[in-house]
Amino acid sequence: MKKTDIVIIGAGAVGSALARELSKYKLDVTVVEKNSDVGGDASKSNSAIIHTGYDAKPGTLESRLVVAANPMYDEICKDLDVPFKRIGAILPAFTDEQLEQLPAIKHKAVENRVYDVEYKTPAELLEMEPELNPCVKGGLYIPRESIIDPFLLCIALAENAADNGVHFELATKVIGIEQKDGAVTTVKTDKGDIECKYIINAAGLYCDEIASYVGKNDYVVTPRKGQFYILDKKTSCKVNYIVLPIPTKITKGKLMCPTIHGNMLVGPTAEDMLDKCDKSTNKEGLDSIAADVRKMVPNVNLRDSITQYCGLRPHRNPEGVNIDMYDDLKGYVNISGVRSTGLTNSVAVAKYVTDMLIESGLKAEPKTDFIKTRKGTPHFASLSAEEKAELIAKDPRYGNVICRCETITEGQICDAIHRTLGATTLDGVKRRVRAGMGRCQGGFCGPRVFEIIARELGISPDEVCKNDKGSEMLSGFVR
Amino acid sequence: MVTKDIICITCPQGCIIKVSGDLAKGEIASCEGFKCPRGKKYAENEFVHPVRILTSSVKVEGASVPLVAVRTSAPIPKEMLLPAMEEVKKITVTAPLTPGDVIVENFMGTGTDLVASGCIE
Amino acid sequence: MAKIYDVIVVGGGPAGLAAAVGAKEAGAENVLIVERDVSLGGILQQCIHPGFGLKYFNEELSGPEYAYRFIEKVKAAGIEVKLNTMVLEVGEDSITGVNPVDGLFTAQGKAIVLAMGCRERTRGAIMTPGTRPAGVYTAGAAQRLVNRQNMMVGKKVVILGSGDIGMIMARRMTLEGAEVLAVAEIMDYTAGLTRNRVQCLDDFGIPLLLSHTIVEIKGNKRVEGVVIAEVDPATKQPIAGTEKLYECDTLLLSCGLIPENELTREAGIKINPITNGPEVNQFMQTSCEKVFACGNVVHVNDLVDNVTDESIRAGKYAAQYALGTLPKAAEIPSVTGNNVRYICPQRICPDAPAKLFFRAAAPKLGVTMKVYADDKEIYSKKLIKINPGEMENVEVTPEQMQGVSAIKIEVI
Repeated sequence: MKKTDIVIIGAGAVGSALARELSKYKLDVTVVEKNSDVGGDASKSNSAIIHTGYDAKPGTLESRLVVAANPMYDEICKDLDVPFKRIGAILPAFTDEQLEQLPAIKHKAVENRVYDVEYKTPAELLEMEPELNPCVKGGLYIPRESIIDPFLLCIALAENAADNGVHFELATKVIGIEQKDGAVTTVKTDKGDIECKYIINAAGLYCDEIASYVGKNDYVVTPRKGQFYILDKKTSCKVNYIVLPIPTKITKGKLMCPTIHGNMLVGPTAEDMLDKCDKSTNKEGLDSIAADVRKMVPNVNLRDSITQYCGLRPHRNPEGVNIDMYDDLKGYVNISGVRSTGLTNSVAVAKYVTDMLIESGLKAEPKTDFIKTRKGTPHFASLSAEEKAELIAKDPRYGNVICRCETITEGQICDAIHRTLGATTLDGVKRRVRAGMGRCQGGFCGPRVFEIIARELGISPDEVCKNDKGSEMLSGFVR
Repeated sequence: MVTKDIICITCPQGCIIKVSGDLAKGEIASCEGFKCPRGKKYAENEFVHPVRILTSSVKVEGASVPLVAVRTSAPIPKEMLLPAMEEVKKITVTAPLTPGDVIVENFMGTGTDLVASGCIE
Repeated sequence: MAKIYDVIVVGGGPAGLAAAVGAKEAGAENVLIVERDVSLGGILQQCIHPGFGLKYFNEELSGPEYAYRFIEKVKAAGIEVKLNTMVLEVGEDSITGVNPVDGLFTAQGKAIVLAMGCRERTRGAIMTPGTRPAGVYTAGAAQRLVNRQNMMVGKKVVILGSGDIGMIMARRMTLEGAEVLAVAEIMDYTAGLTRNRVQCLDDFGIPLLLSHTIVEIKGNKRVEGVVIAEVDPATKQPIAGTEKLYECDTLLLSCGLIPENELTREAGIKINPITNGPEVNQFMQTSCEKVFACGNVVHVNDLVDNVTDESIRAGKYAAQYALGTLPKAAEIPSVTGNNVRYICPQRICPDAPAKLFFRAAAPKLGVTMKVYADDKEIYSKKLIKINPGEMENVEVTPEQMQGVSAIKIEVI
């Protein structure tokens, strides 16, 4: 049987951030993830925004965590080589009713200790954002709302954790937890048991199911579907800021913002569902995004969409971020209610949980040899001519462009496959180096990428999957 | 006596040609709607006995690519397309090949050859 | 001093090959083809089916056979070729490319011919709702996998769109042992050539569902099925209650082709919003006079034979430009009239004869095509039928264009 000090269940943003945080100490940490790759579920299909927490419910744990997390990103992204940009958000009001809500929103921001929110006049807003509906009556500017590459954030956190000694058990599903004398002892998985002293449930959408193995499921999690459009980098109508709608009582609404790589992102819907596996988009949802976003940005051109996707936010009932330890079940940490702010607050949750564990008696001695930084794959397209030439001279595979839309080379794809926690699937390559993220969505490079994956991993092309087992790209060979 | 509307596929125009005749005897009574002699010939043949060029690929050894394109040098009876595929699947060839190189002479007794249609160096 | 090419051709598919040969034949000394694939021939290498060359060679060839004839000409003419090379930038008189051997390089040319071809519309572009499983391919990507890479994409297939590649893949998949359940087409007519419908679908009893579309893709890992619904022919919106589930493991998309003009746009060349290709005159000269374009990068053709004709001309005029013999004059526009979706060339130099290619906006039987020089009818021809899937052409002479401010084509 495998033995470890701490098992983290789930390698989404929270699990990966926790793994990295705990890897700063002399501890044996194992992350168990049901998917074939790190990056989670909700953590990879969201609006890719690092929030300030200006609109959180004041006084809640969620507010504390998000507000604390936001300033941490400059350093984390620099250390881990993750694309991140503080572009700021605007919250324009188009009706008198919306305008009247602004003072309350600004007040709430201050209650959340987000002091840098400012009023903007219609003229200022239109200068900042020329594509805004000209009938804008005023609005707020939230300067530290930021955009990030959500895939690379999770991957970089996990990679760095692994470089610091954390074990990752991928494609491994937790099927039970054993306890003895009021303390957890073992995580049971479909690949065998893992003996441990601590278990941290960071299973996101499935955290209630994990909690049920130890009887701590005094809540349920249902999926709240969010559908999005991604628009071509060359779309006819682009925005410079994160353009947020004024929230209604029912929903935070649908936004439009640039992505860190220069596409436009439009969405999401908020649909309460029951099926945790239903990640399908639908016409009604997509149409509703169009209708709502056009009120703010009338010229948004959804015909320039290159893909649409759907994420499932874990919706906890009763609501709220909860991080619990239990007197009657030693060694078990339950993280629940992490939702749309989860990508942001993951790094704060990691600090919070680590502190909680140490306070509860975990002996954690800081490492002296913690590797703080992680170097990402070279981004060929944005290198200077001299740097490109140098890279190709060193490794000619960087001269072989595989993904023409994003100008991604064979060298980058091979790096994505062979680095720590490297890609084994088409989606894994795509999330690490963006091959297939462009306007042809892998139509041209997909077949080439899975040949490279097969070659580099020494497997047969018909074993290469899009993502998890069962998503094989081929049914076999012609001859 | 049967009448068939045959869409001509000799060229992209897609003329609809009306052919009447006795199928059992293979006799043609009338043929109208064609715009060129090739179309007339095609419609009459199509009425009596439709034929198609078969194209596919076969496994190739000694090359950097796994397959080479092949074709029948002339059309074969339409009903033979699927049985012919079973034969094609069994063939392995060795590089080099250039278009027109005969792979199987008198393929399945059709009187046409199975030839390479791709170039493998 | 680096070598200056007379003509640099970007793309070594059917258009690029013909342009290079055309340029050489017209007197260009140094001609370079830059191709991103491992071999010349472009899409023809995966089009192993017959039907090519009926017009140009007057015989029925497969794609690789058609390509081979031009590759041999390129070799015989001593045209320089760079394979495995991606062009990153097209300048006024140079291109910047990258490959594993030369690294990042710039090549100077007196004239440049763009022949990058086109790409397929994807699931994201047509916004088919549903899940995002493995097993959704564009028909061309599947064709490459099956015909060149020996990889079978699936066993039970539905095809969306009746474009030529889709229908050809319906036959290919059937011949290679897969089951093709249906081809669904949102329009009430076939998008591709009639001959392909007959040879590829009718021959194998594959149902063609006109005025139908896919309203949902099912399956979390691999495609498990698609829901097909009938659409209202007028609005193209699905009709509630007509949905039917087709259980399949593969969906192929044949929903149109988009000229590949990222390089063209970056170069600041004027793009036509209808064709999505550069606007050209009859010399295939773009808004940048040193840059020519031909083939599917200009407008999507239905026959490679037409691409060859057009590209030989583009190569010839690019060579003339490089040699300083191409005429230059004030140009007049070609204007689309009733039931004409686009005309290529969009600009005409009235001092030289011009062949105008055009596509109808909607299919119609028993029509008359008319050409006007300003308000004066200069040509009229009765056609049995007109189909947007099949390109038409008409020639105008310098005499017909003297003192004229525009040429208009209409179909009534």
